[in-house]
Amino acid sequence: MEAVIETKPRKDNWFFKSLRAIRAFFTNPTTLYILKRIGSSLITIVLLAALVTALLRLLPDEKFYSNSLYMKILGKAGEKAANNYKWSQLFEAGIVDKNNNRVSIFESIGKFLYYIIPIPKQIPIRWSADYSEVLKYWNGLIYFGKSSKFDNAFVLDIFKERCGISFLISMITVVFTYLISVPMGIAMAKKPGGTADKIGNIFVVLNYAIPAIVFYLIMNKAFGLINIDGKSFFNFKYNKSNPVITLIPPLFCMIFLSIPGVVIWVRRFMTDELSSDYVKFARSKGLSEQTIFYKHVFRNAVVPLVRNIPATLIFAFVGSYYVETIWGIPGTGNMLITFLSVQNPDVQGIQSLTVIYGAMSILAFLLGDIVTVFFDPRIKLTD
Amino acid sequence: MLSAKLAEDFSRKASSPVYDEDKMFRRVELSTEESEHIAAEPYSYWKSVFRVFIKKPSAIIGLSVLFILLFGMIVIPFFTPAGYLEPDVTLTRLNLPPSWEHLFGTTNDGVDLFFACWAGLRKSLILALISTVINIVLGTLVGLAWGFFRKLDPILIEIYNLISNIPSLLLYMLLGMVFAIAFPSMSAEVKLVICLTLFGWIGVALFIRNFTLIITNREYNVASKTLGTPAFRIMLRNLLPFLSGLIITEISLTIPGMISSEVSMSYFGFGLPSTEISVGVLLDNGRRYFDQHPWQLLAPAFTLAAVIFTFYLLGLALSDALDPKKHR
Repeated sequence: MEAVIETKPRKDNWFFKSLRAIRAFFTNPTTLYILKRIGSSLITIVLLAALVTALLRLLPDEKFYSNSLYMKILGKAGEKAANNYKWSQLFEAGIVDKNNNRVSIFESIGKFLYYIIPIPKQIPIRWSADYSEVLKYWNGLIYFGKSSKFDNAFVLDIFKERCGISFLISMITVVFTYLISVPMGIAMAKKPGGTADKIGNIFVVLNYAIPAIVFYLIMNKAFGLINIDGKSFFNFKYNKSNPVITLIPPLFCMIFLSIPGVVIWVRRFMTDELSSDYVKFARSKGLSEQTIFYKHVFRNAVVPLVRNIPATLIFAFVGSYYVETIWGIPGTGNMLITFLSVQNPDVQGIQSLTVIYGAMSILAFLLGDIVTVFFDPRIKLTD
Repeated sequence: MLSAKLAEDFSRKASSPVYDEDKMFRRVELSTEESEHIAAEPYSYWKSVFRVFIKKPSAIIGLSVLFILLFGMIVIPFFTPAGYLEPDVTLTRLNLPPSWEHLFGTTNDGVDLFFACWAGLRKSLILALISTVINIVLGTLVGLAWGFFRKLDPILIEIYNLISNIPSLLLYMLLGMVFAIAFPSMSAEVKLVICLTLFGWIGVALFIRNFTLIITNREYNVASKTLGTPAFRIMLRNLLPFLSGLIITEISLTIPGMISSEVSMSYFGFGLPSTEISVGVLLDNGRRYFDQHPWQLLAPAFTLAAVIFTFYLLGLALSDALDPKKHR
């Protein structure tokens, strides 16, 4: 006799269905894994903010004020004015407080963490001349600091204002690079040692052999911003009113230089997959070469490539330093380098950009892992 | 029925004088040595790789250019005329364009660029090789463990996120101070190698980790795990051979990259001092005077191009040859 198991009748209205769906979603191991990753990422961002603040505090005081200016003021207006200048500079960098006491490293870290934790807060941003009273407060959730460069604007505002053009350039570059180099890599991999492979290899070698800096300098001379004794024959410079024409030279350079990096890997992944057993099996079953190539091999070879897609999309907001400097494009590429100038580093700028870029790259890493699993179900991120 | 007929047939053949076994065959001594001998050449993976490698045209071109470069690097510095590598005190050799006397021209210090390129190549290549070997070995070991042991993944991901997101320029600034205080007598070469390898390996480790993740659940690895193969053996025998082609491609791109990053290091004050002669220093110098004296940039750029060309071709041929499935 078998025991009769009585089951409760499933309640099948829309409410219970959606409730079950939500429960299934949250008990799914992949979701749990992603939630765990997001949790540990938040800890990493806090650690990153603390670490970068600590490292900035390890820099010597002389980095934050100009010694020659100090000496000049000392000679002209006396010691008090000079010390006042030095003190105001150090105060802006967060090294000393209002009473000229040194702030400890832990205090600096705590202050910056308070800035970036999303709670409503009020932060003084402008003082009277002797720093005795606060003239202006900033109100909001996450405070990303105020730069001492770029006309003393807020770091987030500078980033927002500049990321549009960088994103446009990067996206056009990425789209064209992949449109050109994926078919090229596939054509090369179809017959290693064949004509297409030889031509492609010659192109990649020649392209790759030009050091990027030399290429940019030659392009700069041909249609760059700086033209010495009128030798540059186009003198292209980015112009907001005519972006289509003026963006062609920088886009050409970026696409041209980023093609080999993709071609090499597409060819490598395709040739590695082509010698697999499943290809031999498909061939012995009598499948056409086209089907084998695009349905079997490409599906597998593309897995390592799709991993980079989220990173490419997210980091499109960060421009290229060389290209933006040469063609005078007001993008995000030179922000970090400007903040990090060896003579006068911008503390709040560096802190904020590190946290912004850190959050972006952590997100890109996580999305990259998820996309990989989506494209190749054999890969497991969890145990 | 049939077997009886066969047996009869056989006995008839054996007894008849035409089919006399003793006359037809010669009995040989039983020799264990001879019977155990394998006449076919034993299969050796690396010999087979070499056989495929050496037949490729790209390998032949790459090897010959590499040979020329090595020969030039070792021999040409011995024939350098006296004083050609030092700044010219008589000020007669400054900024000369290429001519028969100075094949690649001279720099604004009066250093002959032809001899400087060969001498610089020797130094740069040695530094690049050392940094690449450290980065690749460390990166591969960490990356394999990172991809294989799932328990390590969360920790190493966060370590990677932390390290890769600190602005490198800030680290180099601080590192410069540490070196100046703690090791004032350390040579510039050692400093450069330390800076290039301190965090360079973590990028390689991530690269290896991503591929390990992709292949670690393929059938042959699952089979190995099911059979109870130790983890170390799976990594060494299953994963590493699969990754070898990718690692070779990565090495062939990293070596020239290391020479190029010498240039960017000198921005942060970690390159070799401008009095030293290396390809990076020459490139950095040439970049500054490109508008007036373009040969000062083009000469070291061509030298670097030759190195990139050689290593790319060799890497391509070797990574194609490493796949044993294509050997026959």
